[in-house]
Amino acid sequence: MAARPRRTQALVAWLFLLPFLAPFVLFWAAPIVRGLYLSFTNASLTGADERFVGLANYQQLVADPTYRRALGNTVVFVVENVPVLLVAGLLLALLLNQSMPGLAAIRAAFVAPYLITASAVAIIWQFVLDPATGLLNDWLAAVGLPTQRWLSEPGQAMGAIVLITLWWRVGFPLLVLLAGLQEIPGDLYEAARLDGAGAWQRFWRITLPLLAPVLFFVFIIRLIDSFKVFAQVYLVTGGGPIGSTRVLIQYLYETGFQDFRSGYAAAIGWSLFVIILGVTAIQMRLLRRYGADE
Amino acid sequence: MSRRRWTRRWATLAIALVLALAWAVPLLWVVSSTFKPQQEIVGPERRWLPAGPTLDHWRNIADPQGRAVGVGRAFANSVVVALISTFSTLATSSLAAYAFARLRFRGREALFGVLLATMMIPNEVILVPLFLQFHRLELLNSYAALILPHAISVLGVFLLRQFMLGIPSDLIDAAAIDGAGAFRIYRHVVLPLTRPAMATLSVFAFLGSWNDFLWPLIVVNTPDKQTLPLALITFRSAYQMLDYGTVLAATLVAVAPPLLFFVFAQRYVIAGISRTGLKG
Repeated sequence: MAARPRRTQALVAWLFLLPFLAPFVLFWAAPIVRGLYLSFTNASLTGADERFVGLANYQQLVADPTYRRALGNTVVFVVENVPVLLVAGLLLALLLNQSMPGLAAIRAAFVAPYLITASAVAIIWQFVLDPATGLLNDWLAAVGLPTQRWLSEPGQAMGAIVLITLWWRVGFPLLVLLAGLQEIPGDLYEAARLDGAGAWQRFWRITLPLLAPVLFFVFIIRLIDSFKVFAQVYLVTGGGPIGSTRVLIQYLYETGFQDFRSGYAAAIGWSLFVIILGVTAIQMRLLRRYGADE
Repeated sequence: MSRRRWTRRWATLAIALVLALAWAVPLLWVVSSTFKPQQEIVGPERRWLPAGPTLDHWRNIADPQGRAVGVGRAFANSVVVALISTFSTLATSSLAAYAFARLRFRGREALFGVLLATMMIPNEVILVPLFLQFHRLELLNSYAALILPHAISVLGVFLLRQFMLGIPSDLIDAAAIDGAGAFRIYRHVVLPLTRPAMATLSVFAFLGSWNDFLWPLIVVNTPDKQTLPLALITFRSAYQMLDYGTVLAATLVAVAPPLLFFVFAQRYVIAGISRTGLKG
C-alpha cells in the first residue's frame, strides 16, 4: 500500500467518501448553512421577496409572547423529565443488576416501549389516560384514590406528558446504567463488605462515584433530547389545553409549515440550538471542575 | 442471616415483577383490545380479555373497503423506506469510515472535524432549509424525500471509524502485501471484522427510519406516500370514534416489526443501546 503513489491513494479515498459526502453536503451541511442564513431574512414559503433583515427575527423572538410561552413549557418539561428519567433509570438498573429468575423477560418489558413510534405511544396513552374509561383512572378508583382529568387539565397535562415519556423512554437510561453497573468490579464490594460497610455506604462510596461518568453521559443525552421534545406532546395534547403544553419544536413547526414564515422558523430552530449548546457547555464545565477533584 | 437474604431476594423479584407488569400492561391491553367488540374496549362493559372475541378489526385492516387510509399500503411504504435507508446507511458509513480510518489523503482530519461539529446540531434545526432543498429538487412527497435524509449517518461514520481503528494493522498490511487493493481489503478484511458495530448501527438506522414522525409529517401530503407513523394519525382522526379496535389493530401493525425484531435479536438490540452509552 505504501508503495502506491500518494495521489492514487488520495483518489481512492475520495471514491470511498463520495457516496457518503454527496448526501451529507446536499441534505445536511448545505441546509445547516442555508438555515443559518434564512434566520437573518424574512423568507416565506408563499414566495414573497426574500430580504436580509439582520437580527430582526431574533429581536422579535425575545419579545414574542408565544415563543416565550413555548420556551417556558419546554423548560418545564426538561426540568421535570430529566430527573424523573435519570432517577427511575438508576433505580431500575440497581433492581435489575441482581440475579433473579426471568431477568431477560423483565428487562424486555422496560425496553420494549423504547422501540415503538411516537404515534403509537400517543394513541395508546390517550386510551390509558382517558378520564372516563382509561386504565389509569380505573386503577386509581380500584385502590380508592380520586380519579384525575389528566390531559384535559391545564395544570396536569404536562405532568401526564412526563409520565408518558417515562414509560416510553426509560429503556435508554436503564440499559446504559445497567451496563455501567456491570463494569464495576465485584471485588470492590467484597472488600467493602469485609470492612463492614453496609449496603447504603457501598452505594454512596462505590456505586455512585464509579457510575458518575455514565450518569453524566445519560444526563447530557436526555437533556438535549428533552429540549427537542415534540411528537408525543403534539400527538397527545396538540399543545393544549390552552397552550399549556405547546413546546418550542411545535411552535417551529407551526411557524414554518402552517404560517409559512421560513425565516422566522429558522430563527426559532437556531435559538433552540444555541440554548442546547449553552446548557451543555455549562454542564461540561461543571463536570470538568467536579472531575478535577477526583 | 440466610433466611433474611432469602426474604430479600423474593421481595426484589416481587417488586421487579410488579413494575415490569405495569410497563407491559399498555401494550398487552392493545393486543387484547384488537379482538374485542367496541363496547368491551371503552364504555361500562370494558374488560381485560374479550368476552366475545371478534376478528372484525383485523378484517378491516386486511380489506380497507374504500376507507381513506390503507394500512397495508403504509406498511409497504414503511418497509421499503426503512430497509433502503438502513442498507444505505450501512454501506455509506462503512465506506467513509474506512477512508477516515485507513486511507491517507489531504484534509482528512479537517473533514472529520467538520463531521463531528455538525453532529452537535439537532435535526430539528434544519427542518425548514431541508424542506426547501427538497422543494428545489422537486422531490417533495416522494420516496426519495422519505429516504435520503435517513440514507446517511454521521454518528454511523464516527462509530465505525472508531471500531476500524481498533483492527490490527498487521491484518491489513498482510492483505496489501498479497496485492489486494483498497476495496478488496475493505470488503474482505475490514468489513467482516466490523460486524458487531454494523449490527449496532443497523438497529439505530432501522428504528430511526421506521419510527420517524416529524419529517414525513412535513414532506408527505398524499395518503399513498404515508409511512406507518403518519398513517396511524390519519387513521386515528378518521376512525377514532367509530372503531377503536381497528385503530388499535393498526397501532399493533406499526409496533410489531421493531418488537418482533427485539424478541429475536434481543442481545443485539440491548448491546447496541448500552454500547452507545459507554463509549462516550
